[in-house]
Amino acid sequence: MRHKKEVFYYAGLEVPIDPMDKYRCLDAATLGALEKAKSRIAIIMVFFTICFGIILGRLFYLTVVNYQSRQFIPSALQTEIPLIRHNIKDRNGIEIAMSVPTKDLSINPKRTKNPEEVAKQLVRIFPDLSRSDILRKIHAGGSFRYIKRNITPAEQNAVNWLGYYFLNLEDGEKRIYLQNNLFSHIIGTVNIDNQGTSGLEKTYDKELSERDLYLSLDLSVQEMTRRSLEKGIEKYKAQGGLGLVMDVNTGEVLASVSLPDYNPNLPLENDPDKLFNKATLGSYEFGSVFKLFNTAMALESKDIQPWDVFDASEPIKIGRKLLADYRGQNRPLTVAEILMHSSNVGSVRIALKAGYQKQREFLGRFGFYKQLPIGLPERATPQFPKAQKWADITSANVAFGYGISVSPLHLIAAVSALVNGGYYRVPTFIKDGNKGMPEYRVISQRTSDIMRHLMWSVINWDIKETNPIFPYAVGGKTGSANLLENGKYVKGTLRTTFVGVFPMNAPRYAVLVVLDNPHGIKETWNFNTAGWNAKPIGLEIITQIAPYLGVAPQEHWEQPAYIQRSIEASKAAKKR
Amino acid sequence: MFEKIKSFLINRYRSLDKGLLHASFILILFGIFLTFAASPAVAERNHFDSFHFIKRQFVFLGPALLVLFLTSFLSFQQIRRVSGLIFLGALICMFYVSFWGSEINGARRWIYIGSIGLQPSEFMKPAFAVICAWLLASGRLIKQFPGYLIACFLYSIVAFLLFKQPDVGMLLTISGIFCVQLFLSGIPFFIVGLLGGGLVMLGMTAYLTLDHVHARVNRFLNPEQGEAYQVEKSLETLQNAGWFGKGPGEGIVKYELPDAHTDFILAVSAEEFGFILTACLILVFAFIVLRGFWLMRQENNYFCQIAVAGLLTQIAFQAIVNMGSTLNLLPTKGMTLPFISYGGSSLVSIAFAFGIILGLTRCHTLSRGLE
Repeated sequence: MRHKKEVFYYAGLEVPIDPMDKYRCLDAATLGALEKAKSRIAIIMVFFTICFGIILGRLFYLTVVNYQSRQFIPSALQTEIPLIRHNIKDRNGIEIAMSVPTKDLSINPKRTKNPEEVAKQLVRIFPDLSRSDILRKIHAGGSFRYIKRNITPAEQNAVNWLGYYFLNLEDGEKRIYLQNNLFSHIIGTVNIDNQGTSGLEKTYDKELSERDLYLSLDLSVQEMTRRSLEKGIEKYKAQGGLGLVMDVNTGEVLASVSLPDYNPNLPLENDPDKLFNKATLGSYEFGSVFKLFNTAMALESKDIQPWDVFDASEPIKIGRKLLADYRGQNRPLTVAEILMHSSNVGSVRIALKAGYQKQREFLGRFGFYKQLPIGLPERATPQFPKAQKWADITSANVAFGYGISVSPLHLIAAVSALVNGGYYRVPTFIKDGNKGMPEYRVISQRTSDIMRHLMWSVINWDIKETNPIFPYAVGGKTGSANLLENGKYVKGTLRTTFVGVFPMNAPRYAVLVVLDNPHGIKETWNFNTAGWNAKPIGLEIITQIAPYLGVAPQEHWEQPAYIQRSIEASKAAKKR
Repeated sequence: MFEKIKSFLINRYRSLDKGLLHASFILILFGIFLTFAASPAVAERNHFDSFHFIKRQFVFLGPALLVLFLTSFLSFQQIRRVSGLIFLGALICMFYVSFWGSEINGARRWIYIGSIGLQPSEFMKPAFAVICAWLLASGRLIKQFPGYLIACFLYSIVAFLLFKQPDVGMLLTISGIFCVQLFLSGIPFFIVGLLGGGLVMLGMTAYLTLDHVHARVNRFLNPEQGEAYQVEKSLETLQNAGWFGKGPGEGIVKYELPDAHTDFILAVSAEEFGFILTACLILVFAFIVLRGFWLMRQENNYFCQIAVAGLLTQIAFQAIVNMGSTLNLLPTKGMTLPFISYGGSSLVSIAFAFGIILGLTRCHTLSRGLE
């Protein structure tokens, strides 16, 4: 660079002077401009200092002040996700319904880019979704649409790897019913947002957000009842049926089955027959079973004594109507025999003796005229004759179970009151649900004792012939009523009922079996009344649950003289 | 000959402002670190090989450093000429891109040379700052030179092209640069106020006419609409960063943020390296900006002052907007963090801008010698 004369070097600073430096000739104007610029630079510096200060402060606030330790676990692996809805368990603590945490996948259609590709990728992950469906959701606009609720962790991972920021995952939970069909009607269902929509899920919606719910139901009893009933329905070609098991002393329901039922884990079928809970929502005429209440009524009012005899040798005429027995004995019958042979004529005579006012008042004691105050949304409204129409002819019908319809739960609760010493308890589905609740005396201890003997004789007078090894002291009653269709009774079609209590010397459990329209089969000589189908199913249930419930086989139970005489008379009549 | 070049280089290197130079190296190192931390997750999500973005960034690192040094060695006149050339070239490219470029995410910004995408407007920014500074300084100091008019004319062309693309972030940056430079060129405060009003008007126009701007501002104003996914994630992450963070590579936000390696790299930094190191990063930016302005307060070259102020404004503006949107102080604005964010053309253009700053601050030593 030696040849370039104009280049000048300062000592120690061998840097060429820049030719652009002409602005450095500091005339007055330039000096003024420079001074102004320098003061304004100060303003700008202050401005940027403030900006960076705010950013630093904000960062400090967000990272340190607002610090929330997450122990460095990726959010996907965190296990302490709170369950919002609690479990439902049976009386022994076995889970029936529980919630599992899941994720819900949603999309923000407004921000979605390349919908075709998005739909394609989503269908790849969820083969059950349709591409056009997803596209329709995206094109519908808005800022929030669910793509799929309750996706699995694997699907969640796959969605995350797609990396679409307009797909969102939010915490969800899914209700799982571990016992599938077993408890379908009682437990009920929840909707997609996990709010109860039917059954106990609905009634105890609020409680389930706070604690687990223990039911009075027993998984094993429920399972045995359901299995026996299912087999019976198939065997007798019935349309459906129901089974109830109740603790007669506490009113706790141990089993409540209604068939056909549904699997609450699957999408609900639109089949009203399956969704209908016959045990609590059904309202039926139970026929001859009501003869128990008829007898108890007259015994309680002391209009009859258990050793009284009534003439049942020929049909009885009430008004213009002739009432006859089904397969009648055509002879005078004792009170016990009236129940054993289910004599309509005898029952009507008892009812007439007591009078219809007493009958009407008596049935009211068992809550037969109002809905049961149970914790279920599905409750039947009973149907019964109006007070002003309740006269002799009505009374005669009610005496053998026509003209009044109640739910099966009404019935089993009332039968329990007949045998447990005379106390009525409202049935409950919750464990210890009746603790501290009032109990009502509906009949005296004496009437209850007589009823136990009468009911025992109904089942046992000929049980040695039909079922010689049956080991438990069961008492009960069967009933068959014609099915009502469009307000008319249909001949040949029956709803058969069996109600049983065991052990009869110290009652603990009541069992109710109802079959809808069973058919006669070869094994039953084509009979289809309750004694041929509902009763064997009921005894089968008792045989299964009694050992589980700790009920010992029958010991000798001394029967009073009037029962012994009645049994002997019936056996003698049968031989003839 | 070799000796001469060597002594020239050594002289030039010695005359550079070491504070600014080292700060820029620190930022580049930060950038490498954070690209390593953030980009593999993004690359894997996009089905690239894990080191895809890192490799691409390294390809640009050499050229960027070369550009940084070469530019810083230029004399004032050379800087002006190079800037003029680049400005012209970039303007032509922008013109081409705005009308015939391929559309990506609703905007035409990129020009492709092979597989390498360049954003001409990135290079236009520093060149524009230098040209404007020269025009404004000359207009102020030389009578009968319509520097202001020409500067305003150039600004309107550039603004129109950016509006056309549309690239509102870039438009705001350019406007910020231009305003600061006008401010320093000594216009009365009255006109400064008017300009401020104009800028607000411009923002309103963008908000009302451009859909995506509208959407972003709305999202910022109403976060509960649940649309600000990235900001939400970023805030969530910052919450569990703490003083020291989770440690390098331990972060998770990068797996959930599509723009973890560009717009939201600060969130990755905060999550993995904690408040202290991230605060250091912010302080380095603050240092560069304040140091630059501080030097300019001692500078007696009017052109130099305005040019450096413009370039510093560019860097400060980008940094503040980027960090501000990560911290949910500002609406998201797709602006890269200088030297840190992934992006080849952004890195080279920032190196170019910073080279000019170094070149222009270099004279400071000399001018002190003159006094």
